[in-house]
Amino acid sequence: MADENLLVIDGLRDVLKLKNGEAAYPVDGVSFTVPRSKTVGLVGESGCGKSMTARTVMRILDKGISVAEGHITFDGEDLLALPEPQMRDIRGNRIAMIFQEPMTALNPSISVGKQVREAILLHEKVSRAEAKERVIQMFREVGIPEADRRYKSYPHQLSGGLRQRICIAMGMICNPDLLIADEPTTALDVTVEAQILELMKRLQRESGMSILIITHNLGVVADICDEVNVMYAGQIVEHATKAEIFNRPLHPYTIGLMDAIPRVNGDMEHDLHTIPGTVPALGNFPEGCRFCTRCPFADERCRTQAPALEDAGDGHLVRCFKPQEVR
Amino acid sequence: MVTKRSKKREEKLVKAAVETGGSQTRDIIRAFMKHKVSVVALVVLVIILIAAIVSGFIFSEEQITAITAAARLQPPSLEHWFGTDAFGRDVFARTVYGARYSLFFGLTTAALSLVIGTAIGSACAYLGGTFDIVVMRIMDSLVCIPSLLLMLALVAVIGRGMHGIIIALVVTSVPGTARIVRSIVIGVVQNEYVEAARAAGVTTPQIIWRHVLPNAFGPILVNILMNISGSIISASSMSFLGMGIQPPTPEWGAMINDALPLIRTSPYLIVFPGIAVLVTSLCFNLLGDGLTDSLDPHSR
Repeated sequence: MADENLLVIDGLRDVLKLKNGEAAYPVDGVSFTVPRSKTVGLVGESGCGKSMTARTVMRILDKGISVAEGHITFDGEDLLALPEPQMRDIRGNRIAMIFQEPMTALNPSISVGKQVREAILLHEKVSRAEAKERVIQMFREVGIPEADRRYKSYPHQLSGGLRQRICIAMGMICNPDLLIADEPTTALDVTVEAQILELMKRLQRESGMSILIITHNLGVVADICDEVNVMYAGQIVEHATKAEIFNRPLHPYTIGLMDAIPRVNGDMEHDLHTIPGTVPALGNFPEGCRFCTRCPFADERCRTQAPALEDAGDGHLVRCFKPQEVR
Repeated sequence: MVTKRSKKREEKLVKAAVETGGSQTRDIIRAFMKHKVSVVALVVLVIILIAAIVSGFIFSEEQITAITAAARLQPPSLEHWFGTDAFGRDVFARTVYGARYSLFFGLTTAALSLVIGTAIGSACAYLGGTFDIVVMRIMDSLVCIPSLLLMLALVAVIGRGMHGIIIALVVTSVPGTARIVRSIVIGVVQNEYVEAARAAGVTTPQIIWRHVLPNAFGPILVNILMNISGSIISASSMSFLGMGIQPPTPEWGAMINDALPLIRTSPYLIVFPGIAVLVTSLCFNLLGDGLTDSLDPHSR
């Protein structure tokens, strides 16, 4: 149902042309949905295609990468078919994005207030003074102390947490329907992280926007998400609600990620669990299941045949031949 | 005691942070004022510039080049501050007048190489691919040739006039500017705020104008100031070697060359134009140093 889901990504495949003429697929057949007013997590290690999926939605892919197949439907509109000027109207206005590094996501030579104001002036016909008022109002809303004075500050004069608040203010200023947050708290320390997540939850309650949050931190997922998609090597390997995925993780990769969370009251005798190896290099994915090289349960079938994403009950999807045995 | 002082300092910093903003130009000027040496350099350059302009109204070219046999080779005195040369011409007047040539060469070359170099460099950075590789290799091969040799060769081919010298100076300074602009633009474009601007729906021309150029402008401007001083020295070098401005025109390099046979008897003939070249180019360099810091918002 188009009405229930704000964003529908269907069979998305990004192609990257390599120098030797071959093609690689950093995002390979990704499908998921973001329901209205819900928070969906996209979880995985570095280099598994999470950020590229988000950038494809925004259509801000780097040169050399393009969409090979698939559809992205946003509020009933086919984003990939939209002409660039219309797409620009959506960017920042209806879909906003906040980035991982609040240190570099702000232009160092423009005061933060003007940068946020720019976002309003781009999409709405309001006077500069009015826009400024709204920026200061938004600064207060995202918890920036002395908002009217901070308007004139430059990014380097602010702390990391404040800068991320500015970025969120910039994302929220046009009341987007969808906020894409690409590792919004990775560069922050844990106390600030908690504050930022709390802020995002409050803004969501107030505005009813949907959030797509990209993270490698399951703690963030536990805090903020309603649904989770786990990505590995360009594919979704597991999809479930938050409660379901923490209670009944099915994919060995998800389980590995869970075990890798340090526990305060855990058994200090044992080392922290890690998943051996790294994500296989792009264009070098193994035949069969892409996780087979690192999976402790892999057998001959896993190495030769690729499993499909299948329903393991109650809409809990998993891409594994033996999800039950895993536990 | 220590904590009290550091607290005071912190308060001051917070106050400064809160007070800054508004006009960005004001911030830059305030930061620049802290560089005393650069401020002095700027003042000296302004004096030189005014002198160069005024000298055009005070002295006619004929006055500067006219021969007065009776007054030849007088050491510095109250009447002739820098003394007189072998033809009885006042060295002070000639040195001041010579600034017109040096500044003209320096500024024209810098302006031309800024325009051409920025166009080439940003085109390479933006287009990339084969175009980038081919153009940059041409620039690299130009850098490989010793610049003085290249300039002399170009002047020999084009001719010794003004335009010959300027073309030679531009050809030798463009590759450096293009390379620097290219690397700066590539660096700035990769910043996340450029991506963030795209994600906010900013159009490409606006991204270049508001987000790329202001952050690339500082280093490019500094490079241009270095270029001015380099061009002044190069132009004088060519004149000194007899391939640039010809005597009796009072170009500093040509004046030094003129005075070379008299170095033992009248060293002041070489010292004053030499100091003029040194001071002018040094001031441009110092100005560049000061601007590097004041244009970079992180080091303000």
